[in-house]
Amino acid sequence: MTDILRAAVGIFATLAPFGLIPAFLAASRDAREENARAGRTLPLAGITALVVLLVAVLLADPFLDFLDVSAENFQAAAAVIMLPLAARLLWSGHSLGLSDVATSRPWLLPLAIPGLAGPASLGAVVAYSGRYGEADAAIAVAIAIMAASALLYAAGFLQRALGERAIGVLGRLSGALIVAIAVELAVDGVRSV
Amino acid sequence: MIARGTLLSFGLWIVLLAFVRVAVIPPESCGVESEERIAEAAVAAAAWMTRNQNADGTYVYLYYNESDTSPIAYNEVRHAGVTMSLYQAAGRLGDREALATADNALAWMEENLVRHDDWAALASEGRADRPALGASALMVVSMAERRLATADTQYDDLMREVGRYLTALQRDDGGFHVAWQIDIDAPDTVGRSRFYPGEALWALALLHEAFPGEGWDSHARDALQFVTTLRDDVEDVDFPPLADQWTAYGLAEMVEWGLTDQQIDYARDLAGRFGLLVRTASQREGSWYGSLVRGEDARASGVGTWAEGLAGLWRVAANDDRLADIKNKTEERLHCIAGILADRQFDAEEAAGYGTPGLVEGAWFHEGETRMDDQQHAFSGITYALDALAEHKMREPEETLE
Repeated sequence: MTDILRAAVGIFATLAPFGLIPAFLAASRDAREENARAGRTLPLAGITALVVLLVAVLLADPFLDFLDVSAENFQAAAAVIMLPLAARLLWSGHSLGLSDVATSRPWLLPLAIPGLAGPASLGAVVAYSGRYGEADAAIAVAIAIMAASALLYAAGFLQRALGERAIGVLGRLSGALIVAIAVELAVDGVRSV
Repeated sequence: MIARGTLLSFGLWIVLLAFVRVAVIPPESCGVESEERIAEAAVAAAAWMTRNQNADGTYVYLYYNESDTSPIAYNEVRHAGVTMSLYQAAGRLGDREALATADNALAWMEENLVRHDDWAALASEGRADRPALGASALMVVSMAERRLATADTQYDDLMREVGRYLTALQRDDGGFHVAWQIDIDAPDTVGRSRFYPGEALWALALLHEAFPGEGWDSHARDALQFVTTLRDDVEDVDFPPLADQWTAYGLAEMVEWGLTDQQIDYARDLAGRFGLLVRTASQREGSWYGSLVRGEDARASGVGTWAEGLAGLWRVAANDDRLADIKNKTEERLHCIAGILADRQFDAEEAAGYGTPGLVEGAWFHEGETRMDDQQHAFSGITYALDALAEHKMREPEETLE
């Protein structure tokens, strides 16, 4: 159980939902204005990201075999892959720009991919799958996606209650959390057999 | 039309991933996969040690294959170590030639003993006034290995006598002075050694196994406590724990006595250290850029110690449930490092091209040089790695030689 929770926290961190709030609200607003798929943005993005990350769990072992890389060594790679997202969050407080959501299907691009299922979360999922096994990683993915979706569901309320500045601060803190998760993953990879 | 920003972002990701592939996760390769071929490498290494003994019981210490020269140099600690491995070959492989060779080497050690008070210590010529702890510890281990291989008890008194040198050098904190200064009849309190404590720990554990009830276990436990709690600090180890295979051997011996949680944690960390070394070595093997970014290969005496250490810790994991989670991974790493060693060993065909093929076949060379302990550590490492792959939990031979 501890392993699942640890993996869920790590994956949740790389989903960085606080950093997605501004883009998610903009996408939802645009959808309402166009009266198309209003209210379905979040479920569609969440389910898509869940499917992508679960596929990543299933393909983690063959992927590492294909690369000739041990799961322990991959943890350091996952840590490096997380750093650009962490840097963006620390710098701006959000993981997607508002202009990024001006697409025909924002729930897919960029909210689901790469907003939720991006390089950082994919790297984390592969790393945790190697570390704790597919079953634990899959459960952790489901928990993390549900938690991130719940947070995004409350995005409007949070923005009104806390204000944009506080959301930005929380986004920056998400970046710091990702750095901590990356360091933990890398150190664990170095210390593992 | 793809936006310029998207293209730029995509390009940056390609660059980052390429960097990660080259610098962080170059492909890993583990050399020879066949356990049969790996076992042949161990036999060839034992044959090298057996073949290259001098008439006086010493071994060829150093050999350069390009110049076909063997400089005059010797080290009694490594002499005892090679002898230990030959006794392991006698026990594990039923190799009678190895037994005879090791007995010659043991006779050389007996001739080079220094006796004082109630103890005896191995000291080579020129160092008789300051016998190194490590040499005596490995001499005890050699005799213990001989006892396990043959069930012959003729050296029991000598084991105890040399064992008493180890206890004479043990400090109150469980650590050890590195030597006794015979001229002033006092321990050397200045000299330091990172590996002597582990060697002495293993020797004391084997003494207890051979002679239970004589009190050797309390010395071994004190030594283990020192090694697992203080040694890395005392020795200023930059990246603890020190990759010390002797301690792993000792832990494997003592796991049946019961280890504390702290000692189990230490064993886990030590396995991680050896595992990292193996993974890094496999990255060197896997691609040309892996060898560039991971630096040059370690010599076989080093690589062999990783296998020895992991094999010892595999025994701990196999016998203590608290480490059960690392057992399979440890086996993977052992298979990998044994395969790398087998791959790098010089075979008969390669040896034929050199001035003295008998000094090349079965050996490992590093920049054209082999030292006797390259074969020693590689042999022991491969032998015990194969034990792990065969789920052979006990280190003792199943049958004894007469």
